Amino acid sequence: MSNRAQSQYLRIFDATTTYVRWQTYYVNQTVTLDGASWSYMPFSAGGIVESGASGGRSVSITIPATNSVVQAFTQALSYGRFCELKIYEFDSRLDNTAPQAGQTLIASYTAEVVDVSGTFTSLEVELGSSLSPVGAQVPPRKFTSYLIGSPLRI
Amino acid sequence: MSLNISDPLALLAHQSGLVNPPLIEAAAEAADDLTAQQRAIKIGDPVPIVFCRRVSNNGGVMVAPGATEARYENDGTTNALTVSTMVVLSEGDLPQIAIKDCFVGPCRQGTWNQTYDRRAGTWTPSNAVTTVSGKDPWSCPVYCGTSGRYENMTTMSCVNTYPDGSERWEHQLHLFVREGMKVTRIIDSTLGPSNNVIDLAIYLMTQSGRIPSTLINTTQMLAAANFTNTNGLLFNGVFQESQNLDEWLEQISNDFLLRLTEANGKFAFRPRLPVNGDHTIKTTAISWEFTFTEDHLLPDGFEIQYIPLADRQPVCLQMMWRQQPDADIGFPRTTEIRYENEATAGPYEQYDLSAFCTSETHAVKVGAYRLARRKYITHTLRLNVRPSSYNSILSVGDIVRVRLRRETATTALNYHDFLYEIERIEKTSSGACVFDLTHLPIDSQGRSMVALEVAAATAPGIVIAAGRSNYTCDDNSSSDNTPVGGGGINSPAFADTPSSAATQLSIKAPGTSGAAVDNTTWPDGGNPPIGPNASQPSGEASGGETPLGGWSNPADSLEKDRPAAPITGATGAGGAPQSGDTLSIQESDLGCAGQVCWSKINKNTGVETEISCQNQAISGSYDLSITTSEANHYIVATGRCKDPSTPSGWGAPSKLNQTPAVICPPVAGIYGGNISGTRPPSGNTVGGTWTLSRTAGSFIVFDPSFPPNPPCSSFTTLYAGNFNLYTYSNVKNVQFVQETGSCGPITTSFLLTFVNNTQITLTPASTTLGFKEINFGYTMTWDGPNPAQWVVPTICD
Repeated sequence: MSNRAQSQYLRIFDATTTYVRWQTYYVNQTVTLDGASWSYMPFSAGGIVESGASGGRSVSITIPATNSVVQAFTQALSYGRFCELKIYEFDSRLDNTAPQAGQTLIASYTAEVVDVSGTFTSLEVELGSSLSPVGAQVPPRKFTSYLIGSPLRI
Repeated sequence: MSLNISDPLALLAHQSGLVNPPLIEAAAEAADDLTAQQRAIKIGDPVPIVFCRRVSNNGGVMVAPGATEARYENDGTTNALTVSTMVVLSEGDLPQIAIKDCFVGPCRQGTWNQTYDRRAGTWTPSNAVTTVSGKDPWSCPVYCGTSGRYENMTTMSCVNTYPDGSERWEHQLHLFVREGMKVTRIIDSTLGPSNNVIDLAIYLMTQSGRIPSTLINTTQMLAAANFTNTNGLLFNGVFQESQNLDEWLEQISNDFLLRLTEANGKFAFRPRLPVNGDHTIKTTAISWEFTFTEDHLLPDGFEIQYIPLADRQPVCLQMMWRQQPDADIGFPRTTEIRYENEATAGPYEQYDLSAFCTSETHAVKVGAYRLARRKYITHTLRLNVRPSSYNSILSVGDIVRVRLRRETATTALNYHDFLYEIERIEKTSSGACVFDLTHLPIDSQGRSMVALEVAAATAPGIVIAAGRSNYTCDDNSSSDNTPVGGGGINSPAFADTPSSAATQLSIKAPGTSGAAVDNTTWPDGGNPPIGPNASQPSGEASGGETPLGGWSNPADSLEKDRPAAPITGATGAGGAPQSGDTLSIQESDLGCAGQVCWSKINKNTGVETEISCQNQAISGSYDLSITTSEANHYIVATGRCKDPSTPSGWGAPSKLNQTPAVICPPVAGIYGGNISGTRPPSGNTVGGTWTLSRTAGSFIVFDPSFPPNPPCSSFTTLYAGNFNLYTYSNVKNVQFVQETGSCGPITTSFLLTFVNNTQITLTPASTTLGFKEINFGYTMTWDGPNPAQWVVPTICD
């Protein structure tokens, strides 16, 4: 019988501010981890994929479309805020009322909120870089009228 | 939007770069024509990035820059043509180029200037060519450019004069750039030119604006930079073809023996080969991070895919690179790599590294890597395993061991026991992990066979001749290390140089002064929903319209009930039908050739019963005759148009109209229908004088004188005259009662109740077999308080 339990923590932040902290293990509780308070939100991360293949790297989160959730993620999209997903593993036979001191961080994923979709009642949030396989062309700069005026025509 | 599709294991070899033969084989990218016509830059072209650094007599890149401005002017006597050309060399600031490295076509000629962030040279673009008598006129471009801002660009000007009749005046300019764009080198944290592909990748990631610096794993990037630097895998090229950054990062990593990874959301490169602490390729026994056994596998958690034959057959790799002499124009070369006695006559696969590779060793090591993987790697693996301690320690690129016991007989015990590289990790929400693994072949000493091959691969190292003849067209010395001049003109260089205002438009941020959108909630991340904060206009009912307008939509005629078809023919009060009426629906109101069905709905129970259906109009109408059986029922008309596609031949039913309930007719005289006058009100307790008189009329009784056959078939008509029948006092209630005989009512009686609650039954008419008809009437009076009119009962009572 497995005694392994996993808890997930989600944080939306930018360079100066953390906007939300949610956890999805301790039901209807606000718990303290790393000196910060994490409120309960029943989201689920659809799995973290690490790969070298183009476009093969992302994390999908399903989360109820409450007013606060909708606002948090629309703002994250608007302002390019980061989203951090952490998954901890711990012994389920021990304390289940608060994060255990000895829990192990087994996955951590920091990315931008690149896509939000869903239904009226739930949102699918895709985390990743906006480095999509379409667009994001390099070299990044192009010759414009501002840069070169009307150029020579041979 | 996310599309989830299956990811067959067979694709892993391609995704991991294990099998990726070139899709197109063509001329080397470095194979420029030296005497081509000068290229003009077009609006929308990518700004090139010259990225190189010549170190230890290796590196640098020959650039054929595009022109944006030119001036053409000839001598009025000799017709010699002076061509001034302004070219954009690269994005960013490049160190000053030496005179010996500046070429017009293949020749070191001209007077050169190089500057940054402005226009190089001080001449004015124009076509000032005149016709000289006795000479052929020059045919030079007339649209010579207006100049521009040249922001964050290195520009160069070349002025050169050509004798009358020369065909070289429009030759492409070439510049041998030894030190390219300045970036902050990750290895020494110094701003300067670099030949490390990691520096270029970080620059492009940052400049693309798509990857914040916090999502770049600097530690692993530094390790990768040291790996490429230590092993001579250097980038010396011009990056000017528009390409997707993600795709470029993946492609370029293969050519530098790197793997693009994203761990914890952060981008990084990792060496594809095991490395030592000093970043050299590890050729000793390698260790692994974790061993998977049967204990870890989930059911059906083992999937293996062997590399197909086509991708394992011996091939000869033609590695294309660029030999870059110090004092001459570089040229592409090929080095063929094959295992001894294999693929001596092909097949061939061509890998073009000439755009950035100036080291034969680099090309050879990449070739050896590809060839060794093709030879030694036999399969890929997908493991679906339960969560365990490896959750926190394994990442893409790590080496693991898979040791699974295979028992096919009691005496045949074997193991699937190999080392693998992790190509992909999927950590599912259930906790289970899916690992995609690529076979890592090792020898008997536990050393990576691919690493051994790459480390041992040594370039022939033979410099071949460029094939240039002794003829020289150089005007400038091939050993002149003097930097070119720095002359130029700040923007706006000329009167017709477009200003910023002419080329740019800045839309004011929402909510700022002068912005088109002034009352904005943009700081909240976008538009809020309309309401509930929208104020309610005065006079509007709660839930009514907001100041932004109502929410009622235009009516949809297809969703509305069809107009009611009038039902005519009802003669009762309030349009109610009554017995004897003939109700009609006009054919024109049905709107089609069709059927009308009549049904009745019980007024009290709601039960609906079909009466009749008429499949076509008769004399233009659909009719229903009302009888007493419809009394107290609503009459409903339902129409159906013809529809041959349905089994019944009729289309969907549509309710045409409904009448008020059919009026219940009064009972016949024999049932008290001829009674009138006043009576005590309902619930009365006060006595009054009650009288009953008869008004004259005939009546018919069934004849009792002989037995009729059939029964009740013989009757006699009689007559009764006016007569005061009864007068009683203290009456508080009166009821009409009847007794029924063999052919009908045999009595018409009145039950009187007095204030003392005694009762009496009065019978003014009686017969033996029954009354058939009574046409005389009864009139009663009652003089107590609040007398009520006697109500004639209906057939429904």
